[in-house]
Amino acid sequence: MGAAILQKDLREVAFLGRVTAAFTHEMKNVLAIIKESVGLMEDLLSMSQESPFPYRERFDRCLTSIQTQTNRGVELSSRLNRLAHSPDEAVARVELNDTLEQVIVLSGRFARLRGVSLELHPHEEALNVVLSPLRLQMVVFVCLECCWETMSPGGRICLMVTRAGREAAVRFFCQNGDGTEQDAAGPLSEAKTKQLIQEMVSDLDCRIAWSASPPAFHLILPVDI
Amino acid sequence: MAKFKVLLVDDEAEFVATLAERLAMRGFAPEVAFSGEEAIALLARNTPDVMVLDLKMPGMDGLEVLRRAKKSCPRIQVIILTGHGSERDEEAARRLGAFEHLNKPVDIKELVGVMEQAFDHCRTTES
Repeated sequence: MGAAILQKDLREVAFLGRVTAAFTHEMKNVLAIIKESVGLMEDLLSMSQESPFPYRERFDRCLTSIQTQTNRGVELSSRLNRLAHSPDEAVARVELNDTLEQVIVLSGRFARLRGVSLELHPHEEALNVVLSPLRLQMVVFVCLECCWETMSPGGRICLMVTRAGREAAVRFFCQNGDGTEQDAAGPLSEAKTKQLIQEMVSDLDCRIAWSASPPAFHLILPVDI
Repeated sequence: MAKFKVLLVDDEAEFVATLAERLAMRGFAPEVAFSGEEAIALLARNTPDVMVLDLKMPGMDGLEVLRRAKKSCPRIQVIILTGHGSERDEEAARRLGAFEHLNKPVDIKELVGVMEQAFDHCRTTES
């Protein structure tokens, strides 16, 4: 029964991922056409620099704005596309710093709505881990969500990646808007949340740990050497 | 006189037509194909130095065009330009001999730079 439900869940996730990936690909085609069309308008304008054109400056500003927003759209589509491709492989070798950056970008809007900013301090070297890419992103997202739900506006959540031997640690550290440290372990150790995170973490073959000073929560993963 | 022979292959007609116009302003005279089949037919008539190729197209896809192009004319340098690129597709394209893999949309300066590198590589391979 449990295995059948799991198979059904996996099929649903795969379906969602496949359709989302296809649509984000199409969005990139749309954005590419807009970008090339704006580029062509810029080319034409620059070819006629000497000709009088009373609205040139406003026109240039509008074109720059379209380029900026197109690039923003491309970044969003690319991130969503990458998330949609996450279930493609149940287990894969991924780079930890890179995956955390992806989650930070995906979580940015949610955190901003709470008035909280997110920061990543990656490890200086690439750290490869072998696990479910989708589950890793989910665990990090859930941990971040637990933190920002209890923080005051103006606060920030820092993720710091360190390495000790064959293990990598992702440290969650929270600071409130007034500069006071908030114990990330507090919201994450609430019974219901803790159980959920424990379940997700055990599926990932990694573990969690708390440190007292400064108060922080750590996600510890085996590094693939 | 065009810098070197370029073929653009993409089923997004508006995209490829605009890109061709922008490349023409930069001294190129690109030919355009809107499908893989059309690209293969063009290759037989007028072999380009550099091909800029989309991956996902109805009918013959970009990987198949790449495979056939490299088989019939190994000197052609193929630049993949796609909005559909997964890491797996990129690996497959590189295995088949693609010179470079770029994601849509691309900055025109970057594309022209890669096209020139591809042409240099094409000439080096010939000599």
